[in-house]
Amino acid sequence: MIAAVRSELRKLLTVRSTFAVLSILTLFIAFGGFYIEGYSGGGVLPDNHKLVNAVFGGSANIMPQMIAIVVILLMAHEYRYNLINYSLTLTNRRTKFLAAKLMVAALFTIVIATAGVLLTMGLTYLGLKLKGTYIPHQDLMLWTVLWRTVAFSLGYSLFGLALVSLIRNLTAVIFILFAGIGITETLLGLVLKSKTDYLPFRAVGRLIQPINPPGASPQNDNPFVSHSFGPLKALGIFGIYLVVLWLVSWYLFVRRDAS
Amino acid sequence: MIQAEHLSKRYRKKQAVNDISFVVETGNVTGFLGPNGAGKSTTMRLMLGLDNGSGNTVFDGKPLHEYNNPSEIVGILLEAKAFHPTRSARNHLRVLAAAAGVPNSRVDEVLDIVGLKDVAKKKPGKFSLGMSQRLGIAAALLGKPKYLLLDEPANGLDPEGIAWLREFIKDYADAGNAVFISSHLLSEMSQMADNIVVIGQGKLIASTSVKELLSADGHSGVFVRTPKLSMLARLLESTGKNHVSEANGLLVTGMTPDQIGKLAFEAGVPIYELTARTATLEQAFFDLTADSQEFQAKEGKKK
Ligand SMILES: Nc1ncnc2c1ncn2[C@@H]1O[C@H](COP(=O)(O)OP(=O)(O)OP(=O)(O)O)[C@@H](O)[C@H]1O
Ligand SMILES: [Mg+2]
Repeated sequence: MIAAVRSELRKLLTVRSTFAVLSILTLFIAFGGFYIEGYSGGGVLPDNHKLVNAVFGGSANIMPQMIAIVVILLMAHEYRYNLINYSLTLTNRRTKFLAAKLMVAALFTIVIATAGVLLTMGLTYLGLKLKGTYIPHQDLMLWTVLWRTVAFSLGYSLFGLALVSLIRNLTAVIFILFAGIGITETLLGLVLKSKTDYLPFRAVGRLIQPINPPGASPQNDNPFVSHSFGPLKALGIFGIYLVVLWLVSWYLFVRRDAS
Repeated sequence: MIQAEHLSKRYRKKQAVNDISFVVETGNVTGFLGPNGAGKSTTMRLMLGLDNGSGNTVFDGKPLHEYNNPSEIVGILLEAKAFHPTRSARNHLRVLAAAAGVPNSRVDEVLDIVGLKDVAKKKPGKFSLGMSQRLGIAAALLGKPKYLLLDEPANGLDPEGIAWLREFIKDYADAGNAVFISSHLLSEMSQMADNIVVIGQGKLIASTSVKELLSADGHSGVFVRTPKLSMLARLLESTGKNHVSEANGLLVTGMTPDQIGKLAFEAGVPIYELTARTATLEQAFFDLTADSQEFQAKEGKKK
C-alpha cells in the first residue's frame, strides 16, 4: 500500500500539468485576493468578515475546480497513456491502487485548499494594507473557513475522481463536473422546488456561502445555494451522494476490463 | 512455469479468445504467434488479470494477485507507448519503480541495460518507436521478474535492436527465467524461441517446440514462379497436390521439382523458377493459420 501511494505521489509531482494548474490557481488567488478584494477594494468598505468572505465569496469558488482538474488528470492519464496496465500489474489488488489514488487525491486537495485559504486571506490583507484602506477588527473564523473550504474542495475532487474512474475520459468528466451537473441541478430545480436543496452540489454549496454581517440584508447571498439546513447537514447530504458514487465506481473498477 | 488454463474472452459480438490453454516453461523463450486480431494481446491481458474474462493463469502454481509483490514475478510490455509523453524517461520509470518497491538505483540500471541512459532526462513523447519499445522493456525489467510478457517488443526496433533483443531475451531465459513473447516477425521467432504457441481467431492452433514444428511433415515444398499462375494452379489441382499462393508463384507440396517441371512442360506452362525449399517457421506458421486468417490480403490458401 505504501508503495502504491508513493508511486501515485510521484505521478502527481512529475507531470507538468500539476504545476501548470497550480500556477494558474496562484494567479487567480493573487488577482482575486490581492487585487479585487484587497487593493481595488471592490468599492465595498471592509466589514468584520472581509477576509473570510474573500475566501467564501472569492477563491473558494475557483480553487476546488482547479484542484479537481489536477486530481482528475491523475486518473485520466492512466487511461489516456495506458499506464493503468502497469498500475494494476504492479499492485496485487485493484482496490489497493484505487485507495492509493484516493489517498493521494485527498492529501493533495487538503494541502492545496489549506494553502489557498491562507494565501487568499494573506494577500487580501496585504492588498487592503497597501492601498491604505481602513481595516476593522477581523473575525478570522479560521477553523470554520478552513474546514468548510477543504471539505468543499474534497467533495469536488473526490467526486471528480470517482467519475473519471467510472467514465475514463477526461473531456467527458470535465464537462459533467463543471457544466453537466450544474445544468441538471438547475433543471431539476424547476421540478423539485423546495426539495432542490437536497441535490448534491446545491447542498454542498452551502459550505462556502459568504458570511453576512449581522442585521445586513443578504446581499452576498448566492441564490443557487440552499438555506434550508446548516453546513454540517449540507455536507452530510453531499457525503451520501459521494459515498454511493464511490461504491459504484469501486465495484465496477475491480470487475471491469482494465482499460 | 506459467500455466494458462481455459482462457476465454468475449467482446459484445466477438469471441476474441476461445478456451485457450498452454504452458510457458521456465528456462525457455516461448513465442506467441497468430495473425492480426487472433487474440494475442487479449490473451496476454487475460493472463495478467487485466481483462475480465474466464479461465485462470497461475505463475508457479499461484495466481498473480496472490503474490505480495507481483513485479518480482512478471514484467510486462503490452503497449509500445505506455507513458506520459512529457514525463521524462527516468521519472516514468521511477513512478513504476515506486509501485514495484524497488529503489531508484534500479531505474538507472535498467536504462543502462536497454541503452537509454543518454536520453534518461528526455521526454519520451519524442522517442521513436524503437526507443519507446526499449523504454517499455526497461519498465518490464524493473522488478527483476522471473517472467517477462512482451507483446510485439521487436516492432519498430532496428536490425541492431532486434539482434540485441534476441540475445537479451535468450540470456534472460537461460538465467532460469521465462519469456513469453508475441511477434509478427516469424523469422525472428525462429531464432529466438524454443517453444511456440500459435493461435488463430481466438483458438489454439498449436503449442509445440520450434524443432517439432519445423520437422513436421508438409511444411517444405517447391516454389514455382510462373506468369501463368492460374493455369498451373488448375493443373496441380487436377493431380490433387496442395499448393499455396505466394508472390509471383506457388508453393507446391508433395511433389519434387522434377515432377513439377515435367508436368508444366507437358501442359505448356512456362516456368521461370523452381526452387526446393526446406521448411521455415514462416511457412509452418502460414500452413497452420491459413484457415484462420481473418484479414487476408486477397487470396490465401487454395485447396
Ligand atoms: N476492446 C475491444 N472491444 C471489442 N473488440 C475487441 C477489443 N479488443 C480487441 N477486440 C477484438 O478481439 C480480437 C483480438 O484482438 P487482439 O488485439 O487480442 O489481437 P492480436 O492477436 O493482439 O492482434 P494484433 O496482431 O493485431 O496485435 C480482435 O478481433 C479485436 O477486434
Ligand atoms: Mg496485439
